[in-house]
Formats: sequence, C-alpha cells, structure tokens
Amino acid sequence: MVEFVQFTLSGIVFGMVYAAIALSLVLIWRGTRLLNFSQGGMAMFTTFVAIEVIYKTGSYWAGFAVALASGAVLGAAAEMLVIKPTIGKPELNSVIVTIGLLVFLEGLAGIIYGQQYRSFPTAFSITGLKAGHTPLGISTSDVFVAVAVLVSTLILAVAFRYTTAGLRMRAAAFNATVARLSGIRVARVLTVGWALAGLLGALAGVLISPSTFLYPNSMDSIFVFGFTAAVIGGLDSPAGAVAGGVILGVGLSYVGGYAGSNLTSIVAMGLLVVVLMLRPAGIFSSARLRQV
Amino acid sequence: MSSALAVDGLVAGYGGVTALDGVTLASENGTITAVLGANGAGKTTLLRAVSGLVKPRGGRVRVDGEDMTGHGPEQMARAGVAHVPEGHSVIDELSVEDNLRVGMMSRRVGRAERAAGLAEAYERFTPLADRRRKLAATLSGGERQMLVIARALLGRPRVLLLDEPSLGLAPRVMAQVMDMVVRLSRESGITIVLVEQNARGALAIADTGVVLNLGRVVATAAAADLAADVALRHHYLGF
Amino acid sequence: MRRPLLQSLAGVIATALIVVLLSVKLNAFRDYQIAEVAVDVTAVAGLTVLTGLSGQISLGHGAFMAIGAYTTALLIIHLDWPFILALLAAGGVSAIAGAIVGVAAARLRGPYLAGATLMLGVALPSLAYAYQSVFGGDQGLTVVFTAPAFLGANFPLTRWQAWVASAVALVTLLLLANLSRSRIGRDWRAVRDDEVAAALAGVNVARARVLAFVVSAACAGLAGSLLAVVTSLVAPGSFTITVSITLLTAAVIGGLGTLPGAIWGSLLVVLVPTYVTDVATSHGLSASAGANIPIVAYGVTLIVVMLAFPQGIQGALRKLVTATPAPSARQAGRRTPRFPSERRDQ
Repeated sequence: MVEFVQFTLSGIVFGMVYAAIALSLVLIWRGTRLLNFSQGGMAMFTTFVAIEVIYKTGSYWAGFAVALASGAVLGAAAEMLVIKPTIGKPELNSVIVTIGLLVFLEGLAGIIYGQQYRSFPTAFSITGLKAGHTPLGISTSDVFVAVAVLVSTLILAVAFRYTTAGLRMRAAAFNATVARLSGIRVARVLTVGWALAGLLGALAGVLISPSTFLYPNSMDSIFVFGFTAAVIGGLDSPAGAVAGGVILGVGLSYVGGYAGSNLTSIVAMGLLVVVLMLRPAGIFSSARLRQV
Repeated sequence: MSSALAVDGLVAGYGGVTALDGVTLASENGTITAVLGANGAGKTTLLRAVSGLVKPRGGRVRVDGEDMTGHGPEQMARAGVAHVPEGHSVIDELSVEDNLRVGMMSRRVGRAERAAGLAEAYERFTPLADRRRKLAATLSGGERQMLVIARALLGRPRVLLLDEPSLGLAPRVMAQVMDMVVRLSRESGITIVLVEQNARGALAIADTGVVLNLGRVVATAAAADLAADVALRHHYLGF
Repeated sequence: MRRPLLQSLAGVIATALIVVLLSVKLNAFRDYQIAEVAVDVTAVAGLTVLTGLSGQISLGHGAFMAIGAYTTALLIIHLDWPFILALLAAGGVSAIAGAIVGVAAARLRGPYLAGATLMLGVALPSLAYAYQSVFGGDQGLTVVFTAPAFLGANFPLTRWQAWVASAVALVTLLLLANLSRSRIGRDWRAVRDDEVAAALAGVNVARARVLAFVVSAACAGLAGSLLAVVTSLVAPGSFTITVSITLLTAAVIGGLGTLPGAIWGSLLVVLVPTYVTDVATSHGLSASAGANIPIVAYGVTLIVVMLAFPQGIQGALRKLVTATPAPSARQAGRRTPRFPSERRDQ
C-alpha cells in the first residue's frame, strides 16, 4: 500500500513535467497546427545554458531565470527563421524542418557542452518527505516541480482568458482570417506563441534534469512522453495536456514500479496507439471543444 | 473631393486563374454601392483584393484618395476598411462579447472606451446583449450576421465591405439584415460596399449598382436605373 | 527506351560492375564504406517510397532495421541458418511488423503519424534491455560471417561483405522501381496527392497505405540484416533515433520519392561524416565534438533542403537535364492559406 502511494505521488510529479511539454506542444498546435518536434531539444539546450550560468554565478535562480528567458528567445527565433517559411506549404515540410532543428540543437550541444552526463542541481532538498514515519516517495524538490508547473499553467490560463493579448492569441488560433481582418497581426501573435512554448519547454527541462541528468539526448524520451500526454488529452486542449500528463505519469510510474523500468516506453507507446486508434481527438477534446 | 473608396483597373486571381480582370469602380462617401453578378463573377475576389486578403496583380486601391494597394488585411483594418467576409465570419469558439472585443483590436482603446463601445453595440443590437457570455456558435443565423456587423463597426471603419450578408438566411431575416444596412448608412455615414446574390433586395437599398461578369464591370449606374433595366436584369442578375 | 524494365536492369548491371571494380581496386576500409552505403540504400529506398510516394512519414524506421538485424542474428546464432535464409526471414518478420504498424497508423496523418513512429523508434530498442537474456542487452549479439569457400582462402571478407550488401541493395532497387511503375505505385501517388479523389476513383486507401508500410519495413529489415553481417554486431546502440533521422535525411537530401535519390543520399550520409570528422579532429577538435559535426550538418541540411530545395538532389539533377520543373504534389491554381486556421472562402 505504501508503495502504491509512493508510485502515485512520484508519478504525479513526473506527470507534471510531461504536462509542461504537452502544454507547449498544445500552444503551438493551436496557433500554427504544427507539431514542434524540436521542443525537447530546445528544452535541453536551454537547460545547458542554465547550468553554465549556475556554474559561473553559483545561483540556481539565476540559472532558472536565464533558462526561461532563453527558452522564450529560442522559441521566437525558431518561429521567425525556420517555421514561418513553411506555413502554407505541405505538412511534411514542417515536420522535417522541426526534426532538422532538433538534430541541429542536439549536435550543437554535443559540440559545445560535450556528451558526458551532467548533474543538474535542485533548489530544494531532495530528502524524502515523510507522513509520520512513512516515506512518501517524493521530496520537497519534487513538490516544487509540481507546483511550478501548476502555477505556470494557471498563469497562462488566466492570461489567455482575461487579457487582451490572450484574446488576440485565441482569435488568431481559431480564425486567422477574421483576426487579420480585425487588425490583429497574426504573424506576430504566432511568434509570441512559440516564445511562450519555448519558455514552458525550458521550465520542463530545468525541472526534470536533476532526475534524468543532462546530456544532448536527455530530453528525447521526455519529449515523446510529453507528446503522448498531449495526444491523450487532446492536442487542442490545454487542460487536457495537464490531465494527460498526470495520467501518463502515474500510469508509467506503476508500470515502472511493478513491472520494471525498461517497459515504460513500450507501455507508453501502446497507450499512444490505443488512444490514436480509439479516440484520436483525445480524451478531453470533445468535452473541452469550443472552450479556451 | 476623392471617393471614400476608389478601385482602378484592379487585377487579381488565384494561382493560374484570373478572377478580376481590370475592375474600376468608385464609392462616394456615405453611399451604399451594390456589387452584383452571377457566381464566379469576381465579387468576393473584389472585396478580398480591397481588404488585402488577396494581393492584387495590377491596378490601384485608394481609400479617401490615399493609395493603399497591396496593403495586408491588418493594415487595411487599421486604416479603417472593415471587411465582413461571407460565411465563416463569426469566431464560433469565442463568446459573443469576446467576438465584439476582437472588433476593437484595430484601434488603441483604453478600458473606458472599450466598455463604452460594448455598451453602444449592445444597445444597438439588443439580442446580442442577452447572449453576451454565450458562445458565438449558439447564435442563430440572423444573430450571427448581427454580431459580425457589430464587430466590424466597433473598429470605427470609414468603409464597410459586406460579402453576402443575407446568405443562408430566411427571407424575413434577410429583410431585417437589409434594414440594418440601410439604417447603418443613414445613422453613421459609413460608406458601404455590399456584395449580394440577392440583387433585387440589394438594389432596393443601394445608391449605386455595379454589375460584374467574368471579372469585368459590365454596368455601373444608379441603383434605380439598373433595377429598371429589364434586359440587364435578366441577363446578369437573374430577375 | 521503350522498356523501362530494361532500362532499370541496365542501370543495375552497370552499377554492379562499378561496385565490383571499386571493391577490387580500393582498400578494405573503402570496401566497408561501400557496404555501409549499400545498407543505407536498402533502407532509404524503402523509406523514400513510403514518405515520398505514399505520403506517410516515418521517424522510426531504425526500429524496423533493428527487427531485421536481431532476427538475423538470432537465427544465425541459435539455429545456424545460412545467411541468405536469415536475410529473407528478416525481411519477412519486418514486413509483418510493418503490417502491424501500418494498420495501427492507417488513420494517422501528418504530425500524429510522425509522432507515433518517433515513439516506435524510441520504444522498440528498449526491448533489448527489457529482455537481456534474449537480446544481449547493451552488449548485444555477435554475428560471425565468413566468405564462402569457393572464393578461396585469401578473398577479403570486406570485399565479400560489400558484394553481398550491394547485391541486396540493387535487387531491392529493381523491385521497388517495378512497384513504383506498377498500379500499386500509381495508387500510392494518388493517395498521397489527394486521398478523397483517390478513394472516389476506387483506390482502397487503407490497403495502399498499409502496403507501403509493409514494403518499406521489409526493406529496412533487409538493411538491418545486412548491417548485422557487415558490422558483426547487433546492439541497441546501432538503432537509436539518430539512425532513423539519418535515414530520413538521406531520403530528403537525395530527393523524396526517387530511387536514385536514395543512392545520392546514402552516399552523402556515409561519406561526408567520416570526411568531416577527420578534418575536425585533425584541426584539434575532440573526438566527440568531431562526431557531432555531422549531426549538426544533418540538422542544417534538413532545414535548408526543405526550405530551399524540397526536391533534393535528384530534383535538381532532373531540372538540369530536362529543363522542366520536377512534378510537385500541389495542384496549380489551388490556393493554400497563409495561416493554418484561415478559413477558405469560395
């Protein structure tokens, strides 16, 4: 029973990181109908930048802030330089272009930062928390991870719902023609969307790297899990992304805990296939259709 | 004095197809110009070339004398040209109020002005006030048309381009929409360019009529004169 | 030429002669590279048919190579099968895997399909770790491969490997060329260009799509089988996502959907990285940094080719030769929206 609780709690924590990636994918999908295959690569790269800042300044929070900022910059730059030319062209082009970007970033990281696994620090304690005498399987640092993602999600949700900038993004995502005719600079809005997605991805990167270590390919499977979470929740649904992330995280935690960690990717793939075959729009999509 | 909207030898098309083959027309300030013709005559392309959704291949577009050829839709909207496209023009996924707020995005408005703008729209179009928080997808056909016009007006345009506002509406509602257009023209003095399949209804409320065929202008005259020209009506307008 | 089959056959024979000549003239390392190129051509040809002709993208073809390689290794090690039989079995098993994936993916399009195949490429190799006793885990399985006795005791193994790999590659190309010209190939193109129109014209869209997966997976399986005997090792490290992406890069640079493109692309992804890494390390870059330069190059190439030369090398060659533009999937006159959520009016 104790094990079950531990698996559940740590599953939620990992699930939150998948949710952050899923959210960034949803943001980009809603705005541009593209899947950003380089999202994990961008997150990895910004985390490397963060670790260098942390080495130089000794401050975790400086690194944290720089990661988020460079994530936004990287996202915007990618959109303006590499993605804009593919809009209106066949879908295949944008898939290949984002794959190219992924590979480029991984290779670049390999050259600049090297292939060795690096450890990434945490801001909070990693000693396990206890309820009374029972170990809960998670630490203060883990709680921070979950809270950070939750807070970011809430901030985004509020901003989208209640600010003019958020309305601009929603209008551009739902009906670009009308948005443009109303004077909204849709091209600019798309760039902002990619910047936000980059920021979310960077957040996921710094939150998960303490657990996975940091190396050029470290975000590959996180991305794939994030994608799975987004599909489970529905690529159109931000709330679905979070729910999908938690579901996947908890599910894989049980698999890893009870059946062995080597089977998690297979199970995740199975889950992805099942969802894509039975309910390709995602579990939460129809309920959430036509809402923010 | 220059026309509110003047189009000169406009050429535009899609891919290998030329939909507009040198169209010239002028809309005087505060008037209603009806643009008529069969399907495929180029009426919608004309509006899209003016509002910037389609880049013209030749010719000029002038608004109040200022050359705006080739400007994108965002710029045209900010310059005071509002285009209400046919069909999917309401943003279904947003609420009525959010749709209206979108209409104000071509101007810099403070919170007070925004609230005033919304209040004015609700006063003018009362059914919208009742459904302000509902999703636009839940509106009836006539209400949707009301919403798009209200939204366009919130941008305080000088020129309003309406593409088939009565499309898909029941005859009674069609008449209401036409009434709305007339009242708009009289009350606010906006210059209106109205593309309509329903030629009879359009000519009844317009000041000037322009008939297009295969991308060219075949007739320009006062609306009453066009309505009286039986041969022309039969040949190009279907009544 | 009146008979395209004759034309293909002539091309194949000519290439075979060139390969034999080169393999005799060049040293063992070059022979090894010939074999590498042949392995890639076999896999890339299948992939370019899948993505370029039937319009289905796969980011996980390394998984099918892995299936072919492990099948071959297990059959040779445990059942002592001769290579040729193991090769055919590998193709068959991969074909079955391709059918399963094809059916699962039949209703997937664009990014969804890409993501699902990416997942396949990431997840499948982990099976090697999950069942270490069978698959050998990280160390993998070792395969012993020798040249046949009739060639003599002094015949270099590398040359034999180059010949075997090239033979399989050329036969694969010939078969694919025939398929491409046949009604199946026309069905694939029809489905790629406009599914609805194809269905209306009587094409069984689902079956065409699954068949494309079966064929391309079989090719990848054959390539994996070749890899097993060329490198003598089958380990998960040889089938990472980078491998899948390298295959895609080769297909894209060479010219998606073209068989000669598979050759150009494979030549590039085998020869250029070695050259570049050599140059880099001789200028003082560390070995691992040097190994990453080709990866950066792949990324840049994919982006630049897609943005500037989507038809790839073969497309450019065709333009030079015929001075007419290469066929494109988009119909003239159909207006595509500038932004994805733009509605089409009229």
